[in-house]
Amino acid sequence: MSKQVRFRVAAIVAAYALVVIVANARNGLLPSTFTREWVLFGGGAFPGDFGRNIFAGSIGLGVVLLLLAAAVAVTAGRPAARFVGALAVAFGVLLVALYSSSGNILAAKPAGAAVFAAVGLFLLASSLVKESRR
Amino acid sequence: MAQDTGVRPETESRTTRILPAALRVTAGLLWLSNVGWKTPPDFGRSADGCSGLCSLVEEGSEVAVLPPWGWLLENVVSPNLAVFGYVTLAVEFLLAVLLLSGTLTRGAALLGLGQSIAIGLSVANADGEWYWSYLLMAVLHFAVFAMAAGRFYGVDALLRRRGNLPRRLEALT
Repeated sequence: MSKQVRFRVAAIVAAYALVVIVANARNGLLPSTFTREWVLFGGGAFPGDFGRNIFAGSIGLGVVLLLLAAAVAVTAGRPAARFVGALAVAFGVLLVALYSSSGNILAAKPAGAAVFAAVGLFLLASSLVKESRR
Repeated sequence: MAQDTGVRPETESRTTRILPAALRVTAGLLWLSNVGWKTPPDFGRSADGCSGLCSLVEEGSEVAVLPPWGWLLENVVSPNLAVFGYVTLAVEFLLAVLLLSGTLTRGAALLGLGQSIAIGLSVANADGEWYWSYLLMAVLHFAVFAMAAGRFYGVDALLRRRGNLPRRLEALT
């Protein structure tokens, strides 16, 4: 796993996290109810609906995603990625399992949960390949 | 024995590697943006009426493309909406995760193809729907399968690089 790949994936996750933070900024830091007043995604099916579905969450969820991005930058391709990856997959599955119409922890919807699980799978797989110094 | 012609194989071109990955991520985003409105625990059924997944099932039972499919929706799915709803949520969540990360992509593409056909059979004839949407959804997953799109910038590439994958698992990548 090259440094370049590690940092590119980390940058994508960090960018996603930042949009989640900004888009849900009016819903408080650690809400359990879903965002109603959006910063970036107003009315309309596209990009409004698309953005509200993909970037649903809260400032808190975005911060956890930023931590995940940092973990990708540091651990991808190393043995520690196995632990962090398993943790990310478990957290994603937990978020979707707790999802309900009345709310969720960190106001997470399945889209955010899926991002945790997808990045977790990447980390798990990265721990299986030998590290490259490039 | 193959001779070195000096021409790079197609798979070495950056464009031919990026496009399958982009197609795969697009399919992942499709499920990612739609999984959220399958909301437990009632999946849209309430004392006030029917919305969300509930209304899709109710409408599907009336305008299904094939009459037996409508019967299935009315007599099997609708009375067990909660079970069906959780299965749908799990399947679409899994599709988003696998397609975005490029994990077991061919398997995910087949699952996505099946789900696209199921949705299309339910609501392609509903008012305001464009039946080609569902045909295109199915074709998108077929293309992801045909290109084995997880082998480009996906977890499948990492898994295959490691080697010694069980044959059945390798076939899903």
